[in-house]
Amino acid sequence: MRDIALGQYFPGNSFLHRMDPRVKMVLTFLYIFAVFIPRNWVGLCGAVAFLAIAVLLSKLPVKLVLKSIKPVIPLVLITSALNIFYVSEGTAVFEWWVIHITTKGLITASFIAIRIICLIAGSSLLTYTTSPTTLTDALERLLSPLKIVRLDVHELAMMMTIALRFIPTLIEETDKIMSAQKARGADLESGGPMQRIRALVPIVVPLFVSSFRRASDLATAMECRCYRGGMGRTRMKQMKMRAADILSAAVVLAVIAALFALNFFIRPVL
Amino acid sequence: MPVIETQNLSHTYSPGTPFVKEAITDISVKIEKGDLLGIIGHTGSGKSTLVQHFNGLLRPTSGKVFLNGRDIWEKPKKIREVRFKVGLVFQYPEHQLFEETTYKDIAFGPSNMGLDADEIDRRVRLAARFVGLKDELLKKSPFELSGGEKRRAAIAGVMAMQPDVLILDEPTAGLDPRGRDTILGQISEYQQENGTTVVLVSHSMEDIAKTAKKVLVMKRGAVAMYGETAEVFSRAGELEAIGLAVPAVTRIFMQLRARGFEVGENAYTVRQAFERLLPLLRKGGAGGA
Amino acid sequence: MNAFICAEKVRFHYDNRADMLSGPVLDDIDLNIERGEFVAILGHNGSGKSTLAKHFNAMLLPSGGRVLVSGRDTADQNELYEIRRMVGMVLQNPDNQIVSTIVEEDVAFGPENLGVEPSEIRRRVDEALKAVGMLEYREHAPHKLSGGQKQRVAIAGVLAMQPECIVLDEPTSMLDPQGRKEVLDTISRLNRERGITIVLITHFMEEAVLADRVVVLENGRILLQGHPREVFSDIERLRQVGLDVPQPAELCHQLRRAGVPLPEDVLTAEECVEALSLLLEESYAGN
Repeated sequence: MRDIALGQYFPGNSFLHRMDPRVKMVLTFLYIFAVFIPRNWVGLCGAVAFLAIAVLLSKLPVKLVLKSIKPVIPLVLITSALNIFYVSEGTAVFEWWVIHITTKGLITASFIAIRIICLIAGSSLLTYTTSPTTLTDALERLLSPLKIVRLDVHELAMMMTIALRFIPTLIEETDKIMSAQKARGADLESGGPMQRIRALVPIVVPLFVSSFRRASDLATAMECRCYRGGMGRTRMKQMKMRAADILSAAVVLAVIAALFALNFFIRPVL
Repeated sequence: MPVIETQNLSHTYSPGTPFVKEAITDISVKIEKGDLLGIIGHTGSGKSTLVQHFNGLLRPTSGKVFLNGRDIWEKPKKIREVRFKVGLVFQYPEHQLFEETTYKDIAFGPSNMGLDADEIDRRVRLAARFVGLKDELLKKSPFELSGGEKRRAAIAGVMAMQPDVLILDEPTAGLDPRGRDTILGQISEYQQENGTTVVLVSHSMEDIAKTAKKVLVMKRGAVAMYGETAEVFSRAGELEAIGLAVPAVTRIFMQLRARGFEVGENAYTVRQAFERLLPLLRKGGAGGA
Repeated sequence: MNAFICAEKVRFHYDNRADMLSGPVLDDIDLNIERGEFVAILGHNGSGKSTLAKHFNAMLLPSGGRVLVSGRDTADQNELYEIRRMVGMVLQNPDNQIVSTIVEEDVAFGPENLGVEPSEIRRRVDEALKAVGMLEYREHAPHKLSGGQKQRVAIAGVLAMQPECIVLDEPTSMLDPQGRKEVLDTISRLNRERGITIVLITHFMEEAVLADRVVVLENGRILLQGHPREVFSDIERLRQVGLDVPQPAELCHQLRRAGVPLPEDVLTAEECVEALSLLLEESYAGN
């Protein structure tokens, strides 16, 4: 339960780590958009290659990036299978009873699988190289124009930071309360649905009580440290766009343009 | 026959992941019926992991745990029954209170055992009396009790299951001296009156010295010492080498002996120290006069 | 020159009726805390010690009387943030006072709220983490640290606001002996080397022994105060209000009552050994 790799930050000092988080965030979104552009193999390989270069630039172990894909493997398999079995256009490669597997089906399946994998690996790369707090900071600053429409972006970001900070603590606490109630003979594993829901009461009530206690403690701690909302607040970590960031943005935009162009020049397989 | 016995017990957390951690290694200990055993050691020495094997909350990675001579994992489906026989009070147990009334909360364990209403009532009242909770408090919400009362209500919740073995993990953590002394006193009394086996996990040497009859010292997932309290404290030098702070009176005795005074074996409570030193000092006083 | 913190006839009661009936939480407290002093406030749960501590940084305002911090009245809204900057506070539960997911970002939280320049925050954060010996953990996630380390991060978070005083409200009650020692060593050092005023709220007498002055609270009033040596020699009174006495002091007290001529102000094991050695030597010589 505690070993969730998705959304975990791995400190480092690589090119990717040092990038302006705002730029990194926007470029990640652009990349996710970009993997859906290619309709030919060259373009798709280009998108994969771009990701591979980004992984190398992050100096993170490749294994880690592969691990981030693990949770979505079932999704990839299911969507691939659906495409393989339901796309009936194109030349048949295998036919038996009601099953027709066609070239078109296989191609569509591979495209979708590769796109999902790129999407997940790409966004994991963002969370691996950016601390959650920096991420929320970046979001706060990206969304700050919304202040005009009276949205308190600072408070939103603060809430996200605190949520991120307390998730591991609460997971640990849940583990502990479950053990404690099991020691009193609570039966969490058997019975019908209603019984199971009722069995959760001894877990959920203490969890709520402790969350309120923590919230009140934290509020005191924040007040003691002169917290008064976003007004007049500065930040230790400044976000500065450097030449490297502008260059990266240019590269990503060029890649997107190239992917579009390839769709015109190469016959689509999709 | 020991009430609890472990044979070559080892436990590894998160095996096969980067977070793998061997918490206890090859532990073989016997706990005799009616003992009041203290387990001490640093945070991370494996004390909590060890005791969570006694009631089957954790399953050994290797090795065996016996309760009254029977392997508790013989029938994994019956593990709940082991938990009724080996009651475990967790650290900060007041955080697990959840019922509308203190009475109902104490009754949670006994009801899970499937006892009838009369028996539950009898047990709840008995347990409440042991921890000194008055009847009017039983009707209150557990969240309205004071800190010390909450702690005692939570302990009563496990006592009410009337287990053969009662394990308490850091029962005095975070309490003030008065609350601490009350709870330690009640645990001793409970043990004496019922003859229940009690295991007290603590990092407070003073608590253990005052309460336990036998002491088990854990060090990096293994048993470093195990014996009568006096015997363990007679090896105070070794305890200090492990980094466990011995009680101040024990230190005084060690230093006096180092200076060549024959003060006898180590004292570990103020009472003992007083009783051992007084004759020596009196004798001197009389001789000098 | 006035003391750094002056509590003048401070009374405090909560506004609901149940508490009105049980009497005020603080009753006529007069207390001065000097610059650079290390004061321990002892008392059992419910004695009012935490309530008093919260008056020192304007988290609570007195119902009667007043509290002055460096001459500023805590009731003055305009001085609120300056008072909280000068008097930092560390709370009991190490898990519930860390705001951020990265140690150094948490330490930066205070100065960020004060609107300090980014480069200056960076400097202060590194310096504060160094002062508590946590610099190498600056990029770690707080939830993976030990209790003692978390409390040291909390102390660093206060230090980064460049306070003159740190109030610690039972900072060690949830820690193991190792963590307790880490925290106490840290605050003693900050007091000694930087002259930071320390107010330590505790119920552990071993901790109070380190202070320049011990104040014992009971039922919202000051029962005893003075040098630890004086306070801990009043064993009967301490026992009455449910507080511990250091074992060496207790041992000497009992022996003294049994007629052994031991001095009255023994506090540490070492002092006790010295005193006993003298007597034992005499007795050996006598034989």
